[in-house]
Amino acid sequence: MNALEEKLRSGLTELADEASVNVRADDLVGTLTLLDRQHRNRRLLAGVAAATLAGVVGWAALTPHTITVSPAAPAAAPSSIGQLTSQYFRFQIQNPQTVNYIVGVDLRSDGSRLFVNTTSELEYGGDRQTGELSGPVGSYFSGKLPGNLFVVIIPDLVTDYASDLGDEGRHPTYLDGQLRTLTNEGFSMVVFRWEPSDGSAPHYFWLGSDGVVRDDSSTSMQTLALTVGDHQLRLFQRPGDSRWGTFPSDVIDVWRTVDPDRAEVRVMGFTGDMSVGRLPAGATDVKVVPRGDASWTVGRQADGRAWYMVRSNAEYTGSSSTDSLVKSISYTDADGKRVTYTPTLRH
Amino acid sequence: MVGRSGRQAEFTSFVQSSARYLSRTAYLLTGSQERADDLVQETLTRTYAAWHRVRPHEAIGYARRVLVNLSIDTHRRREPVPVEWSERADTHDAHARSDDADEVARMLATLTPKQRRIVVLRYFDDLTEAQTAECLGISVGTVKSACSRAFASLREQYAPITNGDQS
Repeated sequence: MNALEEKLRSGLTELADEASVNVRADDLVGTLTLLDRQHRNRRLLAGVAAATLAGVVGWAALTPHTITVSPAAPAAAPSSIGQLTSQYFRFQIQNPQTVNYIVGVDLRSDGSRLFVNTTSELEYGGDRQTGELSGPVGSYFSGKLPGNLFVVIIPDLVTDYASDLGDEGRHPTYLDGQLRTLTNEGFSMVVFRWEPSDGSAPHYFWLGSDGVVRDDSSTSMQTLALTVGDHQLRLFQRPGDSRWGTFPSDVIDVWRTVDPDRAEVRVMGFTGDMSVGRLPAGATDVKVVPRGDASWTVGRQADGRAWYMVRSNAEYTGSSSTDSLVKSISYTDADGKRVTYTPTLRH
Repeated sequence: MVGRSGRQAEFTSFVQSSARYLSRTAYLLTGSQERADDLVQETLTRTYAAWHRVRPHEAIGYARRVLVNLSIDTHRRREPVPVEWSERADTHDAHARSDDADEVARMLATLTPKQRRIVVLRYFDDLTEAQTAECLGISVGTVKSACSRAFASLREQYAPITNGDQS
């Protein structure tokens, strides 16, 4: 930990000591209990009407789209039967005004099937919609649910995910996905709220516990892990696709279209303390000369093409739009000739 | 299955054990005691509404997620930047804070709300990057880059901190 981090930790703790605790547990619970009782009494009186309303408004769950696949990592089954977990989500939609939706997701299992119950409503009440999705325990499944929800269950402890906003022409008007890695339950869940322009399901990628990136059909991508010190970046690509992506990702849409060949692409934020690039086919014995104090590594994708990664050891590395981290790269080409070049800084 | 009175007793116990933690986090997120009180009250109300579904080991994480999400909405209402911290930083009474706390208060005031949330979750609540990402409903990459930008901004403004301080 550096000096700034230490200062933040000690300063935050001291600032937090100024906070007073103004909640009295007994008073709060007493008030909430009273409100709860009043609410239940109103529901009893309006029982028939409420049931009728739910039938009209809410129940539009489509047949879930079930995919049963086996990722490289072994599928983990829930550790118990019955109620497994309840998760809280808040989606803030700006289309064009800001509207907040609260989504509750309850997960339960009967041992062979996993049931996903969702409730979506406006933050301060209204537009309440409920739905249920189910699939076999230990399998990958997904489906649309009322409230413009799309839920994905992944039988793996997913460490990261990213949305694919799609090609021009099928951009969703709004898409937000939130990942929950349910360690105790042994699986992961991604809940999307989306308003599609063409009714299609959202597209996304996820990073599994085996270090492989997969897409929404659970198809493995060509994944290359590059590690410098304690920083690891995973590059992934579909075979035959010029686009590439990284996990972790610092861009809204996971794909990068910038050409990485003989290039330097700054990644990870405006300070851009990492750069990557790809070498020509057949390059071997790669050496990177960074600018300043930096460390580097080289890795090869499945077809043998080499990528480099440079990470600056400085705490602040300037603007990614103008400052390069790489002075030069040299390699032996397929003809045995030694080649040196300065990569082109690209965005 | 826990009866209603048992559920109330459980929730009362949860409030007693979590109120201080939630109040401290809320204060750091908002910079205002009054707003922190409102935030904690609303957080506990929403957690109570979901209490029959929330498992005991998830309760504090559930409440923290609600708290942080509510703090986002507070910002979106474009309330004035809280002045409590900077006012206190300018006093010189006998119970004044240490220089570090004064400096951190000024630092937090210069961050964007998103950066402040991430800094508080990472360096006060001690959440990992993945836990912070889950709490905020964003990707790990966004946490990393927002944290990186926050630190870059703080270093530029407080350059004397970094003199000879490399770890």
